[in-house]
Amino acid sequence: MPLPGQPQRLFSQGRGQARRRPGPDLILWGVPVLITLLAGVLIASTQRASNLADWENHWITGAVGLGAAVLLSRIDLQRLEQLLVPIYGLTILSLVAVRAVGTSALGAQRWISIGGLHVQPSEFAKLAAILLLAGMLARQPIEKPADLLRPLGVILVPWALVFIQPDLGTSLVFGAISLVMLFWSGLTLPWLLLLISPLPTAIVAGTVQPLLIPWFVGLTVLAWRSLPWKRLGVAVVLAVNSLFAVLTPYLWSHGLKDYQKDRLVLFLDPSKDPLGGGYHLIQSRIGIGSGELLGTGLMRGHLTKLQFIPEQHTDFIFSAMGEETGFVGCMLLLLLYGALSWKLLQIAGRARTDFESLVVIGVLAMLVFQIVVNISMTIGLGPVTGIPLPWMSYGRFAMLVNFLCIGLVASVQRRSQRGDPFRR
Amino acid sequence: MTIGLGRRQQRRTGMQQQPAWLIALMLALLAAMGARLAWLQLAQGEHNRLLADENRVRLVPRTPMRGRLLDRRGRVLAGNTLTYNLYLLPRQVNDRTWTALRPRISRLLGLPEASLDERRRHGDNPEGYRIELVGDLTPPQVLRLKEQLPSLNGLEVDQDYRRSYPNGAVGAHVLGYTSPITDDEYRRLHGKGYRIQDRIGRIGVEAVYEPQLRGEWGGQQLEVNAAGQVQRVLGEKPSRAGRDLTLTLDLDLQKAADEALQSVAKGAIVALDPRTGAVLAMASRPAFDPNIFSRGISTAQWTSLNSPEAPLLNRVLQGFPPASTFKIVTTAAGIESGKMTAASTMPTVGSFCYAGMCYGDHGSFGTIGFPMALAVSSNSFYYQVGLLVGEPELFRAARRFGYGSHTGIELKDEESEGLLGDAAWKKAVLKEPWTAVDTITSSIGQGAVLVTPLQMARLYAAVANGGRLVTPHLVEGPHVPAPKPMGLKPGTLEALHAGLRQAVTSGTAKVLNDPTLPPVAGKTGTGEDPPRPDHAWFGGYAPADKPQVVIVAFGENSGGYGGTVSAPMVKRLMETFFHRRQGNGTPTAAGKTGAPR
Repeated sequence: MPLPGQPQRLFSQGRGQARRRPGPDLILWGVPVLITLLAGVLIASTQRASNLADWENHWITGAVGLGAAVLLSRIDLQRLEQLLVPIYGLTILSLVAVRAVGTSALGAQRWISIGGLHVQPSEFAKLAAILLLAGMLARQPIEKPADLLRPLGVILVPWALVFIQPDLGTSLVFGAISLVMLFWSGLTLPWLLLLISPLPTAIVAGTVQPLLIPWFVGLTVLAWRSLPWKRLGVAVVLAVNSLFAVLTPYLWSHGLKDYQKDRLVLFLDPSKDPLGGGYHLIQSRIGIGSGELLGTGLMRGHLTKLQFIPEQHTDFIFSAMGEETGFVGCMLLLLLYGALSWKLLQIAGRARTDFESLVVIGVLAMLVFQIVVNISMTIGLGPVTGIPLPWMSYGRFAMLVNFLCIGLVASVQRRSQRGDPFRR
Repeated sequence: MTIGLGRRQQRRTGMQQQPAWLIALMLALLAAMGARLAWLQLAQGEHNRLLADENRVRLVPRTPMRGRLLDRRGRVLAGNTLTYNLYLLPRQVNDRTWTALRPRISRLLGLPEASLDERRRHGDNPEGYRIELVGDLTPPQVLRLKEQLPSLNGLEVDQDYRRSYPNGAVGAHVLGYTSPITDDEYRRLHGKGYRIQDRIGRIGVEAVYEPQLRGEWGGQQLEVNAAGQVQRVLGEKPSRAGRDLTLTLDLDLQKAADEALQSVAKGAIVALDPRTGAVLAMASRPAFDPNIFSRGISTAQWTSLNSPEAPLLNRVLQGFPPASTFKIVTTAAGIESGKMTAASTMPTVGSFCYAGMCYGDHGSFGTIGFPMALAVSSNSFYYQVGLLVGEPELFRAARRFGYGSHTGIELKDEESEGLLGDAAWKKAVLKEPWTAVDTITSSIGQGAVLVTPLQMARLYAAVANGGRLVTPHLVEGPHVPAPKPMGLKPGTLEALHAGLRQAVTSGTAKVLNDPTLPPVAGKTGTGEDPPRPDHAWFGGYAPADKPQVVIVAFGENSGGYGGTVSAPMVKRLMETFFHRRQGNGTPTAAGKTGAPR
């Protein structure tokens, strides 16, 4: 349990309220449990041809995570707010430690092995980032561009540490969390667009340069209309975007190695590298597609059994889902995730305080981003990033963190139900 | 951090349009993924199902064509031959179907079933890559197989390249060979694009220039029908051929070296261009045929390659006692130390006695100077020179000529540094102090000194080119440093030039005093290696006044003398170098030698 502090003090007042507490929320608790159970079967299916039995571990970790989440849901989130400084310190410390003593896999340093459990500080850092940002934004919502500096400054250190591991996928999750939380706390849409404008600028500069002209004109209008100190604002926006427009093609051809480029663009045309990275992508698409409407049935997938798709029990678990449960199963899974997201949004809307509301939105952003990026990768809509699918992918530490998130959300929900909600 | 400033205030976050925007965003994403799934599973579902069910996707790796090795005139030293091979697709053949397939293949190709079994087991891999069952199919075999292929499920005939060395064993050591990658190497190298059934360059140029030569794998992902016929190319990445490499070697000279070495059981020959250090020929005996590795080596062949004669060893790069050739170093030490001049003389005797010990010589030549001493290879002369200059000066001169260190040639991994057993070495290794006896034996090259034929060629090149130390190399390029001036005194070069020339005109190497050749200069050496027969050395260069080639020939335990065993080998190469192509009228190196200086 990565939670510092003394648990007995953190628990809420007493058993008195327990009587008034309604039963556990079926969607909030049911969806993760259901998906975890389903994932166990799929993991077993991918490992039919080998002696591994990771599905047991998956379920056990899920049970442990669930227990931890139930405990966490009994804690007042408001009390966690007092611990933000130690949480921040611990996060940075663990990320530095993983560089010093961590185990490297596939060229990146990601985890520290403690008692057989692969502790991945970057997973923990996602949770810490949500709490930190929520704490800062609760005190100072975004009203002027300068308000962005403090929250972004604080989040930059763990973000950078994750990025240099290098764990590109997790650092992208950081970005998604930050953007959605900023938006929730009052960042207007024009500002949001201006904040992320360097990304489309970089993509356009690397592909269709003529499009840069209308794009820059649009940015100028947007900046002029939405920013204070209009001249300075426009100048800064254009300067930053020009820098990205110039640097991107240069970095693309000089900074990145061929395989790194491949990884980013291969999904657009996997047939370019049919024996390398493209092989997984083609096989994943064939596997999912072969499920047709109803799938082969659980434990009966042909490609899944033959292990045609590498890493299928972790990052590519959705391809097993696709083959064995078909379109109906996949859509049901998406709807389950959708229902959970809907529930989170509802809880965020009913939360009593800014801090609690922001924490729930952060969790929502993290889960949705991971779900979308992971599934997009397996069905050929997005690049290969190594982001796991929540509760589905085999990965014990990620499973714990995901359940802890549910615990946090449940705590917010409990408090909003207990007292009078401000919104009627 | 103070507790929730906004605790009792109205919540401010998420109170505007944010929920609506987020819902819209999530619905859009859900719709996109749903649409994509509908496309893959419903619209394309049936097709994908077919591909998945019947393993109708084939992976066909395409071997990169390895870069050729060319000699300095562009003649092919190592190339690639197209071959037809029979492959087994392991995912489509289980043990039961294999027992049915095996006898049919065996009958079609006339191969024992056991060997097919062996190949299948050997090539099995978890990745499902195809296994090469039979390589190098003959055209009739290909025809027979192609006829039957539709009923031979799980087999395919495909082309591949095989590394071939058209000159067989000629230059085998310097060119090297390729052989399948080991499991260890694969683990280390798979990040660099190596594959499990890859080949990798071993020894020689094939190993050193592996990154340039290998190219990059390509491959095809093919969709086939139930009969195994290609329906559609799902993906294709063409392989990229490796770069051809032009070597400094001269095939004619290399062949001549190979032929010359037939006169000894073990030995080495190396030829350099003294002006640049370019290696013109490098041969070692016993040799091997690198083609046997390309075809898949048999156990008997492997045993013979690992025999005590060590055919895989490149003897040009191994250290041997230099014997009398070391007198060149002693000469340089004498004059460079300032204790002697080119004109100094010494009395010579049949038996030289010093401090109660006597050392033999093969003759008494009276009082003579350096040129004569080199020509007749007088031991007593050089005993005295050694004692006069002393141990430090003697080994300092050897080091200046590059003895005891790598020459800088690309084949560094195979190259020995040789050995300079000076006082410090003797103290460290033998725990004994240096004595005058050591100085005396060292001065005629019978001390604890080992020199590689290449190091020796480098020394002759320095003498030939007027005192510049070259870096021997097999490929021209910016990695080759310019020859470094050694700062030798004119007197040293004068004495050496005169002495080495005299050795050929009237000394120990008269066999090279041939009017059809330009003037040759050189020095013999005969090294004792009791109880085995002697080693025989000759190193020399020609034309003596403006040298174009340095050649060192070495016979390992060949018996005989440098002048009778090694000098004739050098002569054979000199003839090739200076006489070739006169028949077809093209201008040659020999043509230029006729020009007055």
